[in-house]
Amino acid sequence: MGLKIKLIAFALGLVFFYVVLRNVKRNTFSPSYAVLWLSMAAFLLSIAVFEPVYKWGATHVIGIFDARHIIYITLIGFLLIYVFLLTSMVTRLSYQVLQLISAIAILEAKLAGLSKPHTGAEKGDTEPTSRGR
Amino acid sequence: MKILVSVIAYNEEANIRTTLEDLRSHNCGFDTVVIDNGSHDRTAAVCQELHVPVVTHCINTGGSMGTVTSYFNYAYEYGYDCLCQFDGDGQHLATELPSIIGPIQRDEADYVIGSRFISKVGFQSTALRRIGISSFSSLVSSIVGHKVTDVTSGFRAYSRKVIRFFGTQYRYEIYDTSQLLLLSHFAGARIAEVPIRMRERVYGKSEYGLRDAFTFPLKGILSITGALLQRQQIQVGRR
Repeated sequence: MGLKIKLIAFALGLVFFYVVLRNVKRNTFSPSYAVLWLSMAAFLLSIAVFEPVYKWGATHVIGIFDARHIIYITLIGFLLIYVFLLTSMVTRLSYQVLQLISAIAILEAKLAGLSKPHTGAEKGDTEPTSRGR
Repeated sequence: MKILVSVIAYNEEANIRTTLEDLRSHNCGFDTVVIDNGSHDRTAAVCQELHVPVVTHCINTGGSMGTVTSYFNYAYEYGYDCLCQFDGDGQHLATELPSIIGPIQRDEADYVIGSRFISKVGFQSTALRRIGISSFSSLVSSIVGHKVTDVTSGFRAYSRKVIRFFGTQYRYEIYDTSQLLLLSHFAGARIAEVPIRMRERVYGKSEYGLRDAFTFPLKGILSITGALLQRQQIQVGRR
């Protein structure tokens, strides 16, 4: 692996570290997601130091003979994990938003004085129900 | 028995008045609420003019399935024993309500589907959609061990058991009618189907477009797979 690619990876690692830590400080990054990004930054930084180890692992364990590919594969792997986590989070948030919309809508109907469902033909011919949660 | 008819509507200004008047003139002792899924038109205003309670979503939550969470929450909140979904587009007939609610009143079923394809009278939908409905109905029938002919029917009734399940236990989004039926079945609901008549909508167009012809089967299969994977978890929760 050439010196140039090592330097680029190292510089990118430093930028990642700085950006992630700054976001953690500002509370714009959840720590659980910051861990993943920091791992990616650590990996980029480690390439400069542990390049022979990665090279050995790439050729002997995985079977990748060009060690540079390990960088691409690892980064794509990180991104896939991250996208997977985001999909899970979006699904959860989507349902929470749905529940909130539903709760607000029911509450608004209550506040509007129309919470008691209409029975029969005329308005106000029944008392509000006392049953429920 | 406290019965709630939940009318679901999205931009149904032109149809909702007729629908609510139909329900009013054939009221056999049920309460009515309209779940307005964030309409941009006067749907909610028309309901208020008719003094019918309306639960208005501040934003649209998708197709008709986006209203399911709200009507289950509402029915559970107010302690209803029976809940019936009724479309606000005028396709459903209030005269058919006793057929749908009957099996629940007699404690014969917990999930009743109003099927267009038993007596084959009235509006039958397009040929392409009928093929899709038939395929999904066969698939769902093989899972529940009970013949279902109109799994996507929006004319459905649920007992207290199903209301409680979706109001308290199953707190996730529901994407599809097949999923709703299967989850109810796994939660111990007895499924029944009754013949009903439907009519074609007078104004407006269906929420399903050409794109849905391709995405609907995929989503349906995934929803069924998801429900099957959740089966054990639901059955454990029942005990």
